[in-house]
Amino acid sequence: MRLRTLVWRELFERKSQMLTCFLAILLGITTVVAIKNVTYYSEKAVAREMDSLGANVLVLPKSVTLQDYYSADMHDDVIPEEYVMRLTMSDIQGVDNLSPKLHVPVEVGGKTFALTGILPKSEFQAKAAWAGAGIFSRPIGCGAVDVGVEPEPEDKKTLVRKRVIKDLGSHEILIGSDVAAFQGIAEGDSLTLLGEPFSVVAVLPETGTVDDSRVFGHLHTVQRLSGKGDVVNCIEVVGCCKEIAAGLVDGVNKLLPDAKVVTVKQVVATQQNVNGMMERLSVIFLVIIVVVGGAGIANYMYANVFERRREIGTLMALGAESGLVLRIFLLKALLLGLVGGIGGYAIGTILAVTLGPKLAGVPVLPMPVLALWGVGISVGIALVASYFPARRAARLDPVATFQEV
Amino acid sequence: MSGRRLTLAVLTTIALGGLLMATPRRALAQTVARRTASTENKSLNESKGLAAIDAAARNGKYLFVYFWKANDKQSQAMYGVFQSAMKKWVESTDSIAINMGAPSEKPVVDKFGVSRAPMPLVLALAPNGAITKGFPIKFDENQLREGFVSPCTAKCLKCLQDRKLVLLCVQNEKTEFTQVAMTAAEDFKADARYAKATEIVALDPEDRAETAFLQDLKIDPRTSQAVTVVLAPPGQPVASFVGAVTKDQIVAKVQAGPCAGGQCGPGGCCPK
Repeated sequence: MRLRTLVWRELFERKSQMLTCFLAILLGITTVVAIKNVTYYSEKAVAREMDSLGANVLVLPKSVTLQDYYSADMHDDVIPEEYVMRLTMSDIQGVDNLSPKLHVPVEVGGKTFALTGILPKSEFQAKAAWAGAGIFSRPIGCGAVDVGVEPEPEDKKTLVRKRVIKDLGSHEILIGSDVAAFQGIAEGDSLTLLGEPFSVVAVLPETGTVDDSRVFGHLHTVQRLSGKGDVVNCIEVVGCCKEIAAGLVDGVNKLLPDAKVVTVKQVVATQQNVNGMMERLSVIFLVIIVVVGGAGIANYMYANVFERRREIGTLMALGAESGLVLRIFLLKALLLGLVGGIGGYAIGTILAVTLGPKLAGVPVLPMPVLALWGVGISVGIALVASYFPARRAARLDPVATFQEV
Repeated sequence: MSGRRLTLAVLTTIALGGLLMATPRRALAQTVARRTASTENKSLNESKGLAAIDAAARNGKYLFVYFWKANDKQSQAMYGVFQSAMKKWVESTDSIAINMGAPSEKPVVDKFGVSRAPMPLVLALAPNGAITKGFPIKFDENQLREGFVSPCTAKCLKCLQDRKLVLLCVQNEKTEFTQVAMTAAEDFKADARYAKATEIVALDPEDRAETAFLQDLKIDPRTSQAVTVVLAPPGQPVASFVGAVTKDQIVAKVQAGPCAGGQCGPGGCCPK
């Protein structure tokens, strides 16, 4: 009988116990892979967000938590749009740009995306001069200016980097890369949203953030179509770093006492806390796999060796060497670990890719490196846990086992 | 004769009764209603706001425009402050209250783009048409006074609100490099790229009326050298040159901008 046949038969000798051990490894690896995968892309999204938003300040409704905002960027609470003009006309120093947003769900080709109303700069920038002569005392080196005296066609794709665009028609839209890919939409196409036709003026480059699943339209059009009135969900304030340090947030807080004013750093800190928690959770699961999976496999192997002393003794009496017996049990453990690891990686990845965007609000892609990681851990645990029972089996004295029988 | 007397007596009684019944809470609504009624008699489609803007510009007066939506406590209180201040400045200032809901005033609401502005809102307009200050929601008389600015400030604000770049040349016959700085400014304006959207504004540093403006720009009124300041829309100082300056230096600063692209975060140009 060949080694492969021996191992295969040995594997299915105690099916229920084998299945329990296998499930322990599979579930453990699944959980760890899923958590690690989502955490990785969530951290990447945070880094990208931080890079694209810079030293931003967010003005949110009081009832909205930072986690609500970051996890989905969609909430039902609103603040009046007039806050935009209050900010624009104020003498607060360090406000570089403003970007009010209103999100409403919209169905495109049977799938729900977010229609985000944004206000182009042309609608409020000029009012910054209404702050009076005090604007001339603003420091040189901070603030968005309009020096493009020879108007050039605006590249609306810069919205994803600058957060603000100069102009946007009432029936013009910009679409995220995921929406464009899903619908096969290109620039210049027409799209009907909430019963009205819109012209696609730009397909935004992929950002890896929730912006990819969004359609951007004019704020006032979105307000009218959704019937929500003159309100927004949030106002992003692109501030100047020095002024943020010098109390821009306090200034905005005093100006808008009925709103919640936070810096992106606070949002990111909250998200980083969540990421940290998930990281710790994955470590806990890893420990559980090692303890439960390892103990289960060791127990299974010890029981197997004890119950099959006679067969092992017979095998050795027929000429099988200790090394062969050791190899049979270790190969059995290797197979269990290998299948558990691959299966765990596959299920964990599917879970991460499907549930990740819903739970963490970021697109998640498969990470092949986690396959090596998952298989390595499961095989390692299976081999370590099986080594001592296998060694015990290999050291059995055939004569003694026959005497016991 | 007796009939005319009777009519007069009835009208007087109605007017007195109306005055007695009037409460301070209704003052704003009644004032506006009277004005609106009067305007409607003239022409249903005429905007009294636009007419007031024209009149103030013709008479070389400031115009304070009070926009209101709801006749609530805040509006009434602020209208009281507004009226009290306007009575004091009646010689130099015109004023008008605009009901945002009045269809005839849509042109003026659209002109300033205040349909979604916080209310009540007061806009101060200089005789040249520049909006010198906006006062949303809550203000007092001292704050309203900030609506009056120096002639040079009003000129700069007007240019900036017309989306023009301003080259402010602070100089007089006593300052050094006066001619060099003015030549640089003129050369810049002569450049085809900037010609249409650039204005040169001259300012005498010894002009007492402009002291506050110079202080805002952090320029010493006793400066011994000409100072050239570049102001960009909506109202941002881009660069300041003391003494000699060339057109190329101004072009370089304008092209770089203070924070080109308006992004002060990572990858931006905010001073770290």
